[in-house]
Amino acid sequence: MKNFILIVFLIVSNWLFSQNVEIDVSGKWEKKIRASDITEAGNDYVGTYESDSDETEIEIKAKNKNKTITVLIRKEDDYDEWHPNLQLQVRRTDNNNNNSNGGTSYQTITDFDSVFFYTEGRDNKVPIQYRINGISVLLPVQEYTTTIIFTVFQ
Amino acid sequence: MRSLIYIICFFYAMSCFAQDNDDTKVTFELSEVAMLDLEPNNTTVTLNVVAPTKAGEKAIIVAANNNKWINFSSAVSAGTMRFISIIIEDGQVPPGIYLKLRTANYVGSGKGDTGVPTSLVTLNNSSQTIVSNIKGAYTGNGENNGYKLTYELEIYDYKLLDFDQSATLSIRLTLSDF
Repeated sequence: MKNFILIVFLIVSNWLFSQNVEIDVSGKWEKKIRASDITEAGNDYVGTYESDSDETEIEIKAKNKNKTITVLIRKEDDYDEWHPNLQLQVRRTDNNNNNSNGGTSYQTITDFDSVFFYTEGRDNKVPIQYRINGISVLLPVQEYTTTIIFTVFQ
Repeated sequence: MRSLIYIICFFYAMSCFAQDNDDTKVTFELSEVAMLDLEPNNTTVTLNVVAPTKAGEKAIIVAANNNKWINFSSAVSAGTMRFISIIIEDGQVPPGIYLKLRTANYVGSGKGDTGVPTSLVTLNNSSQTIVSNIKGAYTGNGENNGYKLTYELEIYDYKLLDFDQSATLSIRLTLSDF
C-alpha cells in the first residue's frame, strides 16, 4: 500500500513538473515549376526558388519557460521521389524574436538531424522560409517530394 | 524495493527529458519543356546561283545570311527522347538544284543530353530529322551555342536551271517527342 501511494505520488508529480515540450507544424510548400520560367530557348531554369517567408509555421509549447528548447531539422525522402541534385534550405524569418537564437541564415536540410535554432518560453510561433537550389531541365520531369521533420527537446 | 528504485529512476528520467516532433512536406512539380529558337534571328537566308565569269566554268553559288544556330531547352520524363526535324513547309526548290542543310556538332555553354546531329540532309516537302536523341538539356543562348546550321545549294542538272527563276521557301524546324 505504501509503494502504491508512492507510485501515484510520482506519477502526479511527474505530470506536474515534467519539462514537457510540444511542436506543431503547419503549412507545406508546394511549387509548380513552369516552362515559362525559362526566359528564352537555350537557357536553363534560374535554378533557385524561394518560398513565402512564412510558408510553414512551427508552434512550440513548453511547460518550463526558462529552459532552452533545441529545434532539430532533417528530411526523409524516398529514392525515386527526390533527386540528389536538389538542395533544400531553410531559415526562420522572425528575426526580431528575442526568445530564439540562430537559424536566421539559410542552412541546408540533410538526411540527419541538425540543430536549426534554439528557443525558450512557453509559447512560440516561428515562421519558416524555404529555398530550393538545383532545379534544372536536366532533371527528369516528375513530382519531387520530401518530408521535413522538426524535433524539439529540452 | 529494487523495482521501486527502477520506477523512480524512470520517472526522474521522464521529468528531465522531453521531446516531440512533427513534420510537413515540400513538393516540386517539374513541367515538360520544349523550347526552340533560331539565332541570331529567323530572317531570310538568301542563296543565289550566279553565271560564271568565264565560259566553261561552273556556276557560282553566292550565299548570304546562310548560317543559323539552333538553341533549345528540353525537359523530359525519364526514358523519353526528342528530336528536331526540318521540312519545307511552303514552296518548291527550283529544278536542277538541291537545297541542303549541314548541321554541325553541338558546341556551347549548355549541358545535358543535347542529342546527335545528322550532318547533311537534302531538304524537301517531307519531314527529316536533323538532331536526334535529345533528353533533358539546354544548349546555351545566342550564336555559338547549340547546332550551327548552314544552308547550301547544289546543282545536280545544269540543263534544268532557269536563271530567271527564283523561289521563296518557308522552312519549319520542330522539336518533338519520339
